Amino acid sequence: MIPRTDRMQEETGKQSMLTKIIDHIEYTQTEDGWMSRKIHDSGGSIMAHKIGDGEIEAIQAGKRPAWTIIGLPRIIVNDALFKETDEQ
Amino acid sequence: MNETPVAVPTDEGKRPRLLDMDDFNSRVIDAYNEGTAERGLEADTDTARSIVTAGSAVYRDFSYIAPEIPLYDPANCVGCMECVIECPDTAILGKVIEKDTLEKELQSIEDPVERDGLRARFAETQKYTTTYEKKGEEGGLFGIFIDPTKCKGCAECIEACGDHQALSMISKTETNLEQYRRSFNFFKRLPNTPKRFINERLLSDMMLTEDALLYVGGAGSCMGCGEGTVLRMMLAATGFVYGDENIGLVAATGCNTVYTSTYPYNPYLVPWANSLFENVATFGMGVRARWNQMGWQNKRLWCIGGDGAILDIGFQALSRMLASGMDIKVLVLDTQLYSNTGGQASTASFMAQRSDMAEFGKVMKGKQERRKELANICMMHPDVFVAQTTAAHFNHFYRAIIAANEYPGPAVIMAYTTCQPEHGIADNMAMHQAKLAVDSRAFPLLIHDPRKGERLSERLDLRGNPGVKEDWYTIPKTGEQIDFITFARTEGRFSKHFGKDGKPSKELLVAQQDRLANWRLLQELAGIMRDEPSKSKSPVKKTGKTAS
Ligand SMILES: Cc1ncc(C[n+]2csc(CCOP(=O)(O)OP(=O)(O)O)c2C)c(N)n1
Ligand code: SF4
Ligand code: SF4
Ligand code: SF4
Repeated sequence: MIPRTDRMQEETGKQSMLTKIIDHIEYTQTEDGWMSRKIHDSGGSIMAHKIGDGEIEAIQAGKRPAWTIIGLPRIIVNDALFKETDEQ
Repeated sequence: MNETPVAVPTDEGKRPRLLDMDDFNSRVIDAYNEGTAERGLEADTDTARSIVTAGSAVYRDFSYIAPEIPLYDPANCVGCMECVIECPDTAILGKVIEKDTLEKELQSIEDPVERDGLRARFAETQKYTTTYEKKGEEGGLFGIFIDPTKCKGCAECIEACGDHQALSMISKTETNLEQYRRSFNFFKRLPNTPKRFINERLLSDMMLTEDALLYVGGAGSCMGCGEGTVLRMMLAATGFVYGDENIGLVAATGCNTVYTSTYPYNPYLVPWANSLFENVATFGMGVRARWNQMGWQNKRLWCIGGDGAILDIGFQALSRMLASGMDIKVLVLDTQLYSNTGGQASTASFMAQRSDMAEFGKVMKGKQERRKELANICMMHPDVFVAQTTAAHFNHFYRAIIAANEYPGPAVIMAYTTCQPEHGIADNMAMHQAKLAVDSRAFPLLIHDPRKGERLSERLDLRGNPGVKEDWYTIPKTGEQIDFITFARTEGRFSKHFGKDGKPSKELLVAQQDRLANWRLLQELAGIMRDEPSKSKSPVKKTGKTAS
């Protein structure tokens, strides 16, 4: 496999311009309700989204959000790793 | 000559068989895919003639070259199609579908979870749903699909999506790779986007039609190569208007011919031939002459070549062709050096740019000569349509191609193309760097249309460049001036010109003046009154040597 490269960064040591990789999707309960964020492998994140109650209830019941079925990113709900109902 | 058809009819009244396509696509391609071709395939006349079936690169599988693949979040997608346009490898495609049709197609999927996943690929957007509903019509659902066999994982599509944030990169696993395969197969089985969803005036939508997808991916170009996108877009704008039956390509040797014809893989769905490095325009004249004899005046003929092929070794052939007035279009893939042979300087290289033959050392500090401006030279040939554009400015690019095709004479399109290894940039930066090249006057956008008037100022249009009346563009929010130094700071090919304190070298300052001089010349030719006429002198001494 050939990882993406940033030749500018290789030559100069400057901060890389490569797009970050998603490590997991995070769902957290906040004062404003449930929020979802995509978390990079570098720890940074992509904008937060407000999540409807119905959606989070389904996730808590062990149903993977439909948009993540193709790709299967890891999901973390309130710091706990999400497992589907039929997963051990 | 008389009107002899190109191929002599066979007994059945059909053209003679040039190549047995089924045999080629199975026996030959399979042998290459399995790695047994070299020892297992016998030499035959087809191989000797180097004839390859159209679109054979569709059978090439790149699933295992990249560790990552885009993850799509339909909730954030607005259906802008920019990811589809900018992908160099035709690995990400979009579709609009009516709800009932989608449900009908989903019935063929047995696993309910997979079905939910596929259904969720399609979402309502204002562009394809609400706008239609407001008109009292049924809206469509828009979805994006990724072909894991063509995706090289460059992440250019993520850059293109930008603030929409509907795409991000995710690591591949055996499980999700299989899902991507299955979902793309589902996508391929779906009917074409209904015509009513394709707004003919929205150029960004062209790639929703099959007519515009004439480059199938599977080419051997580097990850994120800027050339692939330019080739795909030229074909899209030509195919959309004229249809795939009415296009022919002649290509000068360079990276473009290598990655599009590595036997037996060919990404083109239109006829293609390889000229020599130096004579693509001459080759084109021969093809055009013969086509005209056959009454094929309507067919669009494109000559493709790098800056080395067109500005250097094939320059005289180009000039001759332009003087002929023939209806031939030329697309220059301007990487500002000889990419295919490892990065030697060309006359299109920027001043101070480091490359082979113009190294950065004690005596020489990158290229010393000024950049040859092919667009300016072509404008001075009589009645030539000229454009300078980039794939990142897709409306400008598409308009230039459409106008060039309509123009009943020679046309030259100079397209800025990134070459990641030689420019020293990241694999996902093609669009970003092309935009910066324009904003910094390194590569100004222009369209010169001889039909627009008698005066050069009427024919030359600089719209699309930011701050068109200014010397340098200033970002209104931050007050930051975007000049050639700003651009150079972002690319490895200029990195040696910056000291530890970030100060540019004197050679780079000269290069900056060279870019400004070119921009001012364009402003003058286009009849643009600058906001603040400058008193500064020409950057180049009268001797022709660069000022220091
Ligand atoms: C007469 C001749 N000289 C040299 C070569 C070797 N050669 C093949 S491609 C190439 C450079 C191509 O550069 P350019 O036209 O800029 O295209 P790019 O590869 O950058 O897209 C050279 C020198 C050749 N094929 N023919
Ligand atoms: S990662 Fe690169 S090759 Fe893959 S779909 Fe996106 S732009 Fe195309
Ligand atoms: S660029 Fe982003 S928003 Fe636009 S069509 Fe692609 S995924 Fe959707
Ligand atoms: S060397 Fe440069 S121009 Fe050639 S395929 Fe690679 S990125 Fe493209």
